[in-house]
Amino acid sequence: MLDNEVKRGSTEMLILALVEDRPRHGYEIAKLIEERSDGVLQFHPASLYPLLYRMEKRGLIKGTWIEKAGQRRRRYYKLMPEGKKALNEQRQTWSDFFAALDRVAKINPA
Amino acid sequence: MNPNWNHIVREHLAVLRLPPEREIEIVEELALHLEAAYEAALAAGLSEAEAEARAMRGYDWRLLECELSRAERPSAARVLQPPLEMIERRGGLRMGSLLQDLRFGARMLLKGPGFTLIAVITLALGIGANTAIFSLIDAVLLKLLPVKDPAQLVALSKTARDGENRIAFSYPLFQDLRERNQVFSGILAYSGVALNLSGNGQTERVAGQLVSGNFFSVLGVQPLLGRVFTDDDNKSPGAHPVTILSHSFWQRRFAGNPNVVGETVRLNGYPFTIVGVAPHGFFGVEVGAAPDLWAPMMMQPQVSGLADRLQMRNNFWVNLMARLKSGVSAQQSQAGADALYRQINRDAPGLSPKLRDFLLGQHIQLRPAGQGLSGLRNQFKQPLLVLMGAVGLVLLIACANIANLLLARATARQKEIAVRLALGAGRARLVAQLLTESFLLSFLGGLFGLLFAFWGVDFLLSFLSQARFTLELQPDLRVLGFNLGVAVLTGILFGLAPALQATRPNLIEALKNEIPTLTGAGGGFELRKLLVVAQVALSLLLLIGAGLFIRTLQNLNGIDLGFRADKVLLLSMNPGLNGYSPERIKSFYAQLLEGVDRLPGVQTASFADMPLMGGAWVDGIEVEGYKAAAGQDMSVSAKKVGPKFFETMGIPLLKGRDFNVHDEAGAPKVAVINETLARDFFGNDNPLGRRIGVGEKPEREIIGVIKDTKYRDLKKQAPRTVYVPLAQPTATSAELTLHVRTMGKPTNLVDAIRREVESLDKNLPVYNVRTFTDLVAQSIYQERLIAMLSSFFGLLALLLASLGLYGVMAYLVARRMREIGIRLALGAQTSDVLKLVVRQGMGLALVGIGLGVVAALALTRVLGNLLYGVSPTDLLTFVSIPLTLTGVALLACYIPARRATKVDPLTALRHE
Repeated sequence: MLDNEVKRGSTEMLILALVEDRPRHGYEIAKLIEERSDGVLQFHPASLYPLLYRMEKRGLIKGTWIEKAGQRRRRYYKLMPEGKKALNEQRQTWSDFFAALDRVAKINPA
Repeated sequence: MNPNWNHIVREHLAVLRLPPEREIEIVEELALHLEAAYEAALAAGLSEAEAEARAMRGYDWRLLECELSRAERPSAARVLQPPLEMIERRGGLRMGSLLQDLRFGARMLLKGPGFTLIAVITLALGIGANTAIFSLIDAVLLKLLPVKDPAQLVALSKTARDGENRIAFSYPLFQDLRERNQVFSGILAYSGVALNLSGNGQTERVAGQLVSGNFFSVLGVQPLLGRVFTDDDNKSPGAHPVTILSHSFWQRRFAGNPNVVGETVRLNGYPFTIVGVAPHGFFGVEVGAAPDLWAPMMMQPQVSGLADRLQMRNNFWVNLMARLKSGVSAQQSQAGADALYRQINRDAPGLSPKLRDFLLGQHIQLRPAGQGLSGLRNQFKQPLLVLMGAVGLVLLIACANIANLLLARATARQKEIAVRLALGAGRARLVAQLLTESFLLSFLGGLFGLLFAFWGVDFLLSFLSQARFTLELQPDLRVLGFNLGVAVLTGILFGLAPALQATRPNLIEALKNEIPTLTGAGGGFELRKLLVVAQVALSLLLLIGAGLFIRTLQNLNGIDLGFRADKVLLLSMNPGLNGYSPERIKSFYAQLLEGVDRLPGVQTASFADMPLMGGAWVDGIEVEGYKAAAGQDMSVSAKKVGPKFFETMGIPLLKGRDFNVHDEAGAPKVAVINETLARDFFGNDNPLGRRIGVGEKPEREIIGVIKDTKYRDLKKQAPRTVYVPLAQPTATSAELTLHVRTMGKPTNLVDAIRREVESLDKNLPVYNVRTFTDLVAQSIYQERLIAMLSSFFGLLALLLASLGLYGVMAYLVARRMREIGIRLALGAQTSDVLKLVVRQGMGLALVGIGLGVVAALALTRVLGNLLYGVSPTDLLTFVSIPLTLTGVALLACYIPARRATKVDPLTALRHE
């Protein structure tokens, strides 16, 4: 059972992590979260885009319309330096947190 | 065919009124998402309809609208609800977050117990005072009688040619009206009567009411026990010795005994059977005069100790109330009743031509009586509204104070709030959280306020009972509703601004823990200054009001009464109610006086029909050889007193002699008059030996002139007064008040005098035992009450305002610590620093004082006739109160200022 607070803090990190290696569009992000968590984590589509817009406004990510041959144009989000910084900080925090949990309660996050 | 996703999305987003280019982008992006989901579903082998449903499944359009509208608003830095939802938890968020807020709020309040305690006490006082005054206003001014359809009830009165409105009718007239009227569905009569009630060995004086047989049925009141009266209980004189007890009397005297019906009590020595108990909360039809019991009108000759008035058309003693027939308007009813009233007076047998003429000149008036009748209402309306205004101001000041405290706390919590905002908490969510804390505070305040209100009401009622008002006051849903309403309003009032302010911090600065230094302030601080100015202004307004009332009270206390009120004890009794003959009454009083005179500690003693300030009868005077001008007011107050009365009361005899034991029933009629009367009718002539008559032929010789004394109302000039001997012209009155001048403390003699009475008749109740000082104090209880309460509230306001000022200044000094350190390091003197801080604080205080004075000048005129001997713009008050407040404000600023001068420049410079 995931606590609200935990989820709240983790959402942005998940998005940042997914766009870290390459830009992705919204549907892809939602799908990836669902697939990689085996359906445990599901995005409310109604929440996803507003969140993306906010993160964009805060300069963590940047969306660009990209048109590929034979496809409709899509909006791809890529990680910005601010976002990279935030992601690293959060990774560190979570990693410390899990390490602590593991030491105390023998939880293996992997 | 594929659904038109763009169209579907655009339809849902229309309400948001996004800028067109932004809308195009969002619509396109969301439509793409939906389309992708749809195609994935098709690819998985679903039908088109199933695929469309699958794609739409995840879409909560309301949530989307909501989220988007927030995300797209210009100001950034807001992240809302957790967008990641556990599938099984969907929808469970709201309730959970409220509970969470409450828990969190409670934790935060417990973390600052000092703050919480101060806030709750402040609120409890504010809300409690408001609730207490409201419950009185509700009972006296607002509440409807606890009877069936009170709105249908009207009270009957008659307006005469002289313009006076009279409410007393004769009993035969009531009977005629009842039998012959077509406009009322019922008409009832009632009349108050004082009774000696005895039973199981105790005798006490109780307030009774004689009522017509239909009294309870017209009002639609059902008994709690037994039965109510019917017309059969009121058929023939003296035949129906039955009584119904009020609920509170049943509780008090019979301890709520459920078997009380059928028991016998003696009322004025006459046995009555208890047939019922009235329901809880029913106090008759007069607010402020709750009778202990009711008896049928037909028992009047048995209980009143007076002549049989039931047949007398020239004796006006019953009050009438009627219930309008449905479908008949009040106007029609009034016209109908008036016509009938005149018809009855034309037809009535046995009226003297003079009286008939007088009665025919009268017109019936109907007044709405759904709230009951009350002298209390006229007397207390203005004071109660003024007090309500005062406690309202106190509450406002309290709100300002707590808002101020909350703002200060919000500053301390700025970092916490900034972190939460940065981590994705929504602003609305945080405001809700902060408001939850405010509501927790205000509800706690309301709860304790209810306790304060109960004490307050008890206190107010004991004050009212001094003035002979009995008010049945139970906390009810209306009062609880008011209390809750005030608590909620208060919570919003003091919580909203700080909550909005606190959630609008400059994130970066707050996170970096950077506090603006030299500029000093920030938006929140401006608000705090504004609150302090408002507090000072409001408390000045209250204090000026209180000052004016205190001056009024001083003036009243300083009045020359014309007699010595100290060391006089008063006791009343009425042996007539125990069935004494006139001879026996006379010898009883003579023996009692002899016994009391012998008691050690008694200087002199005398009797009067009513205490000096307790009333008098008013009648027309005739003066031998004096021709009254047309329309001249010839009314005088008259009192019956025994020998040595003037000596006992310390009233100086200016001319002639006092009464003595020889001024008997058969002896020549004599009178003593006061200065005013002598001046009005005899000018500079010597009135001694002249003859007057009071409601009689002018055969009474004036034997003495006394100094003027106050009568009933301290604010009024002494009326012309005639004193006559107790036994002239007829026998001694049955009810007399013993006046005893004592050498020591008057109350020390109460028991000894009671024993004297008991030795003569152990079944004779002694009542209205009090000192004359108390009686005088009671005559100005209204002024005392207002002066006391307004001073209390004024001082409370002063305390709150100076705490507010102190808080702001202390905070300011803490914020400017570094600046002050720099100044000191650069060579500023401590006096410069002192000046710097005090000047800033006093600036606020003086603005507040200025505003308060202006407001007071505009508002104190509404106090007008509540004041005595002082103008609403009294210079002394308008100078001394602002000066006092300035002094207090100076102190409130000085303490933090002094602390500022103690700053060590080095520490301050390192201070963050």
